[in-house]
Amino acid sequence: MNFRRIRPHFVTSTIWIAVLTLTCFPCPAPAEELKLEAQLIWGTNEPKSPNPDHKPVEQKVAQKLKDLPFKWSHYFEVTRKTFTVRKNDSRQVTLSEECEIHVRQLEDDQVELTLFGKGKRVGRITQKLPKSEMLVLGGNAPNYTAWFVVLRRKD
Amino acid sequence: MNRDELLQLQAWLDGELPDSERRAWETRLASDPQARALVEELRTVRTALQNFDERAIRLPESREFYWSKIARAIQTPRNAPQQPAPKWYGWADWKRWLAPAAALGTLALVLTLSLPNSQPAEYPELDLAFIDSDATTYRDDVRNFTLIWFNYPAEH
Repeated sequence: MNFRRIRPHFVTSTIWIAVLTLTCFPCPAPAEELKLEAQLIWGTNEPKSPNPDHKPVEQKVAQKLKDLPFKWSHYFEVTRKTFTVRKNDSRQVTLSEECEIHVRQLEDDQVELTLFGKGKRVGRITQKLPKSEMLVLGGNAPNYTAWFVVLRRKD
Repeated sequence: MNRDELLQLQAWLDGELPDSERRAWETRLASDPQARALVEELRTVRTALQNFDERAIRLPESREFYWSKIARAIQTPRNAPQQPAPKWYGWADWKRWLAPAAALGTLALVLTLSLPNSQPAEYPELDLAFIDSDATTYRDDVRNFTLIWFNYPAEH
């Protein structure tokens, strides 16, 4: 084969075909595991938590909570759990003695979050959870404080 | 002093004016300091040129050849062959890429539109299934988060 006889048009076309083919048919994700992060957060007006294990919530989450019309000015992270859940599989995550969540990955990036308080099922939420999306559950806690469960993707 | 007067004054200095005009200029020079200053300047230039012996200057080539060089230099850019444009930026080269690019771009578009959407819509659809419905939902599309607030008393 005489390589010198290959025309530049052929080379150009081949490059374009290769590039566009790779663009149109990207490699599929090797696994359908969803990496998630769940946080249990305590909202209060006290600038300092009585529990030394509590630490202020990271700025990104705190700012979103502060933007809401809540009366609490300080948010502390009680627990943070990172976990993975396979498609059509469920994962049980304990955030505290009283708070537990069950997370199931459904089709199309949908996540089913079931919240348990003191062992009792409180509610179930199904929502698409793309990257940068945050699902927040919250409720009243003693002494005019609040609890929050934040679920988001970690990948 | 206008242009004609300047030329007349130069002519007066060179002795080229008729008598009537020469006398008129002599009368004017007696009373016009600007004209006198100009005459002095012209005299200085003339003296400088008279002292300059141009015969000492010798061109390295003949006069005709010297001027022909200048003429050729003037005409050279007009007759010089056009420099070819850099190969990569030539329109012909871009045009060569355009055809396969357009064809394959169309192919890519058709394939992209015909293939099932592998990326889910980035808008979360919320489905709530509470044991009791004492909850409030708040959705913030700007900040990309959903809040479900349980309105239970604190002891729950």
